[in-house]
Amino acid sequence: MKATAQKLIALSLAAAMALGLTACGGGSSNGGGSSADSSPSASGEGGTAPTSYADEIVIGVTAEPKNIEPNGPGVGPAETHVSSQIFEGLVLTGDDGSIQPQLATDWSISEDGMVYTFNLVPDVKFSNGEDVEPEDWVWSLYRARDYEVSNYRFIAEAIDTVEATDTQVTITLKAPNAAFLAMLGCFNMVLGDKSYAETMTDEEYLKNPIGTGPYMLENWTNGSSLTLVANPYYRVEGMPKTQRIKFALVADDNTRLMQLQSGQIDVAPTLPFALAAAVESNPDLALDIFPSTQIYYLTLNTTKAPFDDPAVRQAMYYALNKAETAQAIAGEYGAPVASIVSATQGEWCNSGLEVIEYSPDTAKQMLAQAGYTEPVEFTLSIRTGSTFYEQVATLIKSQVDQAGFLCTIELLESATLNDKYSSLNHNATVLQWVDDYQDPTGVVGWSVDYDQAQCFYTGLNDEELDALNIAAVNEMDHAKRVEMYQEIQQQVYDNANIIPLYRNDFAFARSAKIDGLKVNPFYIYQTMGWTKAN
Amino acid sequence: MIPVLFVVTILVFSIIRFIPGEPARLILGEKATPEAIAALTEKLGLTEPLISQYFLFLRQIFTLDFGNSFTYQMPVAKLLASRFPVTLALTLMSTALSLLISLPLGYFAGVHKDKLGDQAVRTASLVAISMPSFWVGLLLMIVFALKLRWFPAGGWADTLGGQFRCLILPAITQSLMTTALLLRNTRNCVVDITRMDYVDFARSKGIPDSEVRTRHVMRNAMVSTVTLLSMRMAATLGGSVIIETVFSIPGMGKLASDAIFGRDYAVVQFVVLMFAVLVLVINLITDILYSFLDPRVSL
Repeated sequence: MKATAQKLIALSLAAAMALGLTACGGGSSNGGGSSADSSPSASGEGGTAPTSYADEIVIGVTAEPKNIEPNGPGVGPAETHVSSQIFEGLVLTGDDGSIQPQLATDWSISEDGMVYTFNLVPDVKFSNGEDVEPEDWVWSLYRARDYEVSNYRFIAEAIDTVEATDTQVTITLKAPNAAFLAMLGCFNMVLGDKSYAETMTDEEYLKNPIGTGPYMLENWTNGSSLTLVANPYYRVEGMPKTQRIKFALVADDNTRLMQLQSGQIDVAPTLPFALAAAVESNPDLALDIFPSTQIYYLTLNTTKAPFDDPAVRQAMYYALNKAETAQAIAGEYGAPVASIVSATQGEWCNSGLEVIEYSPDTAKQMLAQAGYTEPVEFTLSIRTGSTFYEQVATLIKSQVDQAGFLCTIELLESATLNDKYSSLNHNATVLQWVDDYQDPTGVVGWSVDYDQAQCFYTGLNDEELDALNIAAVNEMDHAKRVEMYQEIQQQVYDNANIIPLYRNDFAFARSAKIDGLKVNPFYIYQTMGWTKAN
Repeated sequence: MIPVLFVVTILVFSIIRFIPGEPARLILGEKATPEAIAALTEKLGLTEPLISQYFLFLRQIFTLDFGNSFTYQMPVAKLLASRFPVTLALTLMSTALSLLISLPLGYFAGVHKDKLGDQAVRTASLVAISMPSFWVGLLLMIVFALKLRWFPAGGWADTLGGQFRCLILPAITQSLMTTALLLRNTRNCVVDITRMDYVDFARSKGIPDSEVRTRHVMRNAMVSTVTLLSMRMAATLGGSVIIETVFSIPGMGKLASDAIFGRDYAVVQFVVLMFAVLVLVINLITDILYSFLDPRVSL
């Protein structure tokens, strides 16, 4: 009896330890979420949805935002898709990429291109009911420029001073910048509430901000979902059309498709093209295609053999079958490209550059002429765990191995890969780019300004090209500027350090009941006009 | 336990720092300026000497103040508190399912050795061991969520009842491998034990079959089953990332993998430490259970 009692006590103690461990997670046990301190009527006096519409639309997203304030650290699509529903700026990049008024009714630009004056929409309120004050504009735009851990500070770095009154905001630049208005339409150049932000810590504000946009945060369950509710003080009559927008985290694309089919989610942004057929064949679903500025590139490290030799890089053009890659990955929603700037940027893209046809024999000849008698060996480093990148790498290998190259695919965990190409310790990798605004400065700066990203991690420091880039940024004559960017693209093409592979559209799968879905070429969408039929 | 945990703290602290990848750069993304990266590195306390960072880690353990996640900018304790119960519930549900299925079937197969029933059970367990869990998960979702609409196709609910429903398919998926292993182990043990003299002796004494089964056969079979079960529980606790990703449930596995990929040292350190403590506790419970099952073992 005594021995059994001893055993039972021991077992109880061990079980108590296990339970204690469960409890020691900390005092907070509210699901790790943060929630908005709601305004007088979070149930929504402002956002009146017609009765024929559902109250909630669920968007299945593959990544959870870290913060929802657009000047926080590590802002990416997961963050901007939420923050774009909460915040507004002076201007907005429209669905067609054009700059449209948002909190500014109109604006003027001084002749020297240094001073921008915006007339403001009157009587705008934040979602907590407070009026917008002039100091909020000053604080917000300086925050975009100065918040030390923001990864989008570069968008606002042209700003010298900001002055505001109840009716106007005046921005003075450090130097003329032809892209500034387009940059103002970027997701982080938005209005926040200074007095509200000052009532909490930085970390709290990043997770629980307020703006003047159509929605505000209702609740956030970490690792699971985030729900926005209509801003009762939103100034546009009848907007937003749907009371709640829920972002549900569904990391796996196959699961996302099944949730869409079973009605658990209503919209699946950027569903892989491989799954598009399943959507198109289902009468309850629809696939919306939007033009994008997304391009995938093969970037070659010019600081190491074999790609330190321009002849080898030039031969690579003939060794790649871009059309096959585009077709295999994106099907009818992709196309091979030659220029680093997307055709969706309109006249900024140098459409005169030729997509070179796959010609393994020409590539071999070029390599032979350059003195390479044996296959040129190189390692293509790509991230592991991504079927997409593995598929692209396999296609590239199958193409170049027939054209005088010998490619070895190296699968690396994403942080290790990032470290490898950032330190120019690789041969080649596949990277992608989506522009942030309607102007080529983003991708061109990334490709030719060595200080930004070692010229897309190729290490080709062409100072002449960089000088041309700086001149193009400051040039206020539109026609001249277009010409300069066309020239830059030509030179990058000739350098062959960045080889654009293909472009693709954004494919949004949705329930057939959803209407009004629009996405701009910079992967930003406004949900206030979306509806779901009951 | 204490020395083991001390070694774990050293290992987890150093290994995560040895692998390439700068936390600030990963958090901020590629477009961040060097100034922003430097500012965040300092803010995260990563400019301090390693020994100071280690002592801070130890102090956090003793004060139960686990600090802030680098990536989520929220207390690690809060993150663990929201994720750990999900993984624990999933592990317990899948373990219960495994035991419910494997023990009776294992006994049945053992006492009907080489007969049709035994062969069917063995084949089924072999199939279960061979199937990758992500594939089984998708298959279950197609059948039970899409076709029959009995359960949700992954995701997480706000209510307790809804969360229970969300865990059923993942628990079935997770239990498959454990069930198959336990089943085969139980079956083999039963085959061996029923051949023992003491079982024949018990029967010859006229002890009813049910008592022979529970007191003499299954009790002895449970010794190795408990060992195997404890190992499987430890493995499922740490290896739930695939299940959690496929079914979109907010558990520790996904948190741990995201933290490792994002070099979120603060989260990685405490998640690994928590797993280590759990494994030790499971082993302790297993040792205590031995003393119940085997009279020769004393505490």
